[in-house]
Order: sequence, then structure tokens, then C-alpha cells
Amino acid sequence: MSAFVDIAGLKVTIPTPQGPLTPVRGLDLQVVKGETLAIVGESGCGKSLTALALIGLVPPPCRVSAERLSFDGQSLLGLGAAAWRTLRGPRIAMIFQDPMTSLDPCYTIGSQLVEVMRTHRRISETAARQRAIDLLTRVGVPSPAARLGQYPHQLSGGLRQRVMIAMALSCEPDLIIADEPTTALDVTTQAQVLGLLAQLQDETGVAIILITHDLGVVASVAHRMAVMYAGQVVETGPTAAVLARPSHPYTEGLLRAIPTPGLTARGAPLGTIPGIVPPPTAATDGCLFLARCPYARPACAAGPIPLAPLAPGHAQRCIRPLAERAGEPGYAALVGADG
Amino acid sequence: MSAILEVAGATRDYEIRAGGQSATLRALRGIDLAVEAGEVLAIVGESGCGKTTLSRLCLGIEQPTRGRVALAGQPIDGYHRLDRARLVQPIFQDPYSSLNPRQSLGSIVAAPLTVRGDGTRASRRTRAAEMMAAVGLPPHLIDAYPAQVSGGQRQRVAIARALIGEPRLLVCDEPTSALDVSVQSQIINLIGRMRRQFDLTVLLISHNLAVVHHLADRVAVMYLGLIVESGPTEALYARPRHPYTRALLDAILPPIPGARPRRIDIGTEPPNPLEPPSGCPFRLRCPQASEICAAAMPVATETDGGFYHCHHPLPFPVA
Repeated sequence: MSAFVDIAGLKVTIPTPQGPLTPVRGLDLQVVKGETLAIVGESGCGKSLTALALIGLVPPPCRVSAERLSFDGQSLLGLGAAAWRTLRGPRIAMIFQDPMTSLDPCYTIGSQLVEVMRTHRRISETAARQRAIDLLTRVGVPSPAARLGQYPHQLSGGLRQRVMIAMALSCEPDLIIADEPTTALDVTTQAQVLGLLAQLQDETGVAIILITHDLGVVASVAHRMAVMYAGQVVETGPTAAVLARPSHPYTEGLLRAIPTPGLTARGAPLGTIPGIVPPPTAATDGCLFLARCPYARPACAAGPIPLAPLAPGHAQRCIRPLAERAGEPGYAALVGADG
Repeated sequence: MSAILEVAGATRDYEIRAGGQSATLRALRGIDLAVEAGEVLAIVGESGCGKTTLSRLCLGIEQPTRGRVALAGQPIDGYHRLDRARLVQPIFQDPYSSLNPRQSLGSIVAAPLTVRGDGTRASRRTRAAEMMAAVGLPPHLIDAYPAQVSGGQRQRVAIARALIGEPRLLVCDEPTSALDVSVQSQIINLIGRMRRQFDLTVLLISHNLAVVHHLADRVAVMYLGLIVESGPTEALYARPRHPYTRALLDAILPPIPGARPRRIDIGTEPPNPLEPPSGCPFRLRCPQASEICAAAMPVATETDGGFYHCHHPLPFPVA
């Protein structure tokens, strides 16, 4: 299948008096129809800016450039405001982390849902209200008709996020970008909302780009995943393959750092990644993870490292992938470190 | 073993105004809890269950409406605040708001000593430097300000400040929730190491069941201002008896290939704490609820080193 979303060499640059910052520096990603791709990474790795670039909402003065940035065969580079309006909402919908700040506190749930539908479609007020009730039912909001007259503050966090999902679905988009959709929710609600997204995808075939820092969320819903570090994809592949055999040292480090009941020994020191993320000003020569990598060699500093294929659909950006560094202590030598 | 912290029959009411009328929100509805010296006791539950209110009672920041809280055998409200601070110290969730942005890290860490007037300025600075080294902060940061360091380093500062006065009890309210994955593991390791090194007792408030499993010796599950189940960590995770505990455990998403989200069959919303249901607090969301659950609050039943409050407990699995 050809790529539905095709990103090559995406750069986001922020001009500053001290010189430009590049929080996204050359990112490649593809999404096919009907799949969930998870973008994983820590704060500041550029995952949210990547999402904003895909819906044309990167705030000024940031600048977006790319070799390719296309959606369903259409280039998104240099689109005008009118062209964006035909995409944003009807074709590409977005769900943000905090439903309280993305719903308008001054309008009822009903009027916000109806407004989206009537902006993008020729539909009567009555029909739109009926459709809003259907959508709320579908996303599991109890007594949906009564909810239409309520304001966002009258709903719990989980219900508000369900309303956001209903709004995202209201114009039957082909792509939903969900930026940390469950981070602000309680754990039981998180599991329910993730289950809902997966079920809606089965029913509608919508493609989902899920942005998260939680590898447990990735494991439970994503078909494929891309791990970002310092503005680049460092590893991408089928979720099961990446989690079972993480090839890039950063992916390996992240997985070692997570306590998992039944897998990690209780009370034993967890794995850690030493050091901190390089600032977005750092020169891009050589591997960006070099300073923190327990497997680093002088060759790692030599020049830019390409994303190299490892297996069909599985690629990574390390000159010493898993097979090359077998038998080295790596992170195991750091166990017990908390500094 | 003796209990360093005891909470008996504690309730906490807040007078609030809702829709122009005043109402009483009962955040805690009768909590009994004993934290033994040297253990890590975790309190888990969803937002609004009262776990942060409970932590505030245990710090002596608030007093219970009814019932009592005792610290090291004495009523917590009987201590002078400086004496109380020698025994118990907090670590909060957000290291961005819990540190004074206009103080240097050295003076933040030394603050507990400064407040009680221990030692000289020079000796306090030496102690702060030692404490910063103990929590893995580089020495040159002693004159830095909070804005100049990372989130993980700020949380280390908060831990150093809490430990410099050698308290016996640490109350940690979501200490790793605001941190990135790789930093979270460093802080978990640090809390584990400090606990052994300083012979600490820890009350850990968290909604992250995986972190709790890793650090805690015992777990208490809260729902709507009540502890509905409590027990040793291994036993509780392996054999939960309360349906709410089961739901919380089912909601853990392990980062392992092929893990699918389990179906969480407990409805979408916790009840309004202003109008708590009769009988069992969980019955409105409970798949097993029956008439008796509405009629009477289930009494505590002992099991496996702990207890639960449920009329229809999950079966005790036979190995």
C-alpha cells in the first residue's frame, strides 16, 4: 500500500537572536490507511511539533520545511488558509492532551459539536443535533441527549475526552492525530479511551497518529511505532518487533527504564539513561545520542547517521545495531546508577 | 515493629458552594491506617478519591474533621511545626512549583536547617553540599537557580531538601508523575536508595500502579474517601479481592509486544462525592453489585495479610 501520509526530511526551525533552533531536524515518516502509528519520545523531542506541521498549526515564528510533506497524494507545503480549512476537520482531525483547554468553556457541548458539522457540511441544525447525539452514543457518553445542553466544566475528564473524540469523528476524517490523548486521564479511563479509539478504527478505517511518551500505551494500540530523539526518528518498525528486539540504544534504554509488574524485579534498580537530551542548537554532525550512549565508539561522531533498514519495515539510526553490539555490557554496566 | 504514623477514623469535610447553595463535601469518610517504621506504604486510587487530602493530614498541613492522626505516638496537632518538620517531610509532584525560583539550590536544600536555626551559615552550606552529592547533583549547582536545571534535577533538589533534616517519614505525592520516562526511573532508584541509606518510612501517593508495584511493601486502595482494600504488594497484585482493585490492575498497560488493553467494565464516571451512594461506595460502577451492596457498607474482611470491604469479593484463586 502506498503511504497515505508521507513525510521526508521534515524540519521545523525557530529563529532566535542567538541563531536558529531546530527542534525537528530531518524527520521521515509514513502512515498507511487504517493503521495506528505511535510517535514516542520524551519532552522536547519534537513529536508535538511534527503533529502540528501535519495540520498546518506550527505557530509563528517557527518555519516548516521538508523534502516531502503530503497527505493522500496532496502536498501540504505552502498551503493557504482556505486550502487548510478544507482539510482540517473534514479530512484530518486532532485530539489534544487536555480536553478542558481544547473545549470552549462558554459554549455547550451540543453547540460546539453542531458548529463543527455545520462549518464543514451542508447539514441542518436539527440533523446536526441528531448526529451529535449519535456520535456521543457511539463514544460511550451516557445520556447523550442531556449532555448536549451541558458545559465542559460539568463533565468529568474522561467524558470531556470522549466529547473531543466525538468531535474529531463528526466529519468522518481519514486521519486522526491524537497528541497524548490519555495522559491527563485516570488509568481506568485511559484504558477505556484507548479501547474506544481502537474500536472506532476497526469500524471506520481511520488512520491514527498517536503521540505519546508511554510505551505501555504504544504496546496496547499501535500497529507501528516511531521512536523520536532530539528531532529525529531513531527507530521505526512494527510495534511488536521494536518492543521485542529494540535495536537503537535509545529505544533499549527507554524500555529498561520502565517498571513492569511481573517482569522487573521489585525493588531492584531500574535501568537509566545517563545525561540529558542535547539542546536543539547542538551541531548535527554524528549521532545525537552519542553523549549518553553506553555503546558509543569514535566512529559514531564521524558524520550524520542515516536511518538504515534492519528488516522489512524496521529501520534504525545506529551504526552499531543490536546484532553488532551483542555481548557488550552496555546499560547493564550502569545498573544501580541513579545519577 | 511500631507504627510511626497512625490514622484512626479520620474524616475530612470541606464546606463548598455549589449552585449558590453551600454543601459539605466529605473528602475522607473514615480512614484507618498504620504505617510501620521502615516500610513503604502506597496509596492508590483515581483523581478525587481523597488520596492527596489524606497526605495533607499525614503532613499535619490539615486536621481531620473527626478522628485522629498520630505521628511517632503523639497527636500530630500537638507538635510545634518545627518539631513536626523534624519527623515528616513532603515531596510534591511538580518540581517546577515546589521550589522558590528566587533562591539558589543551596539555600533551598538548607532551608529546613535555616528555619530551625541549626548550625552556622557555613556549616549549613557544607551540609547542603553533602546532601546534594548524596542525591546525585553536581557540586557546581549549589549556586544555581531552579530555572537553570532540568526537571529531574529539580526533583533531586526537592528530595535533598526533604532529607537534610533527617526526618523519619517521607510523604511523596506523585513524585515521578511530572517526569519523563528515563528521568522517572532515576528518581525511583534514588527514592529506593535513600530509603535504605536513611532508614526511612515512606508514604507514597500514586496513580501509577507499575511504580507502586516496584517501590511499595504494602498498598492501600482508596475509593471515594475510603480504603476499600489493603494488603502486601505481591499478594494484592496477584490476588486482588475487591473488583475496583481488579479494574485498576487491569488498566496497567505493560510495554510488552502483543499486550492488548483489557476491557475495563466499570462504567465511565465515579459518583458525585457530594452525593455518595448508600452502602458500598463502588456499587454504582461494580459489575457484581446486588441489593445488599446498596443496603450496607461491607465490613472489613481479613485476607492474605490484608483486608477488603466487599460483599461479593473476587474468588481466592486456588493454585
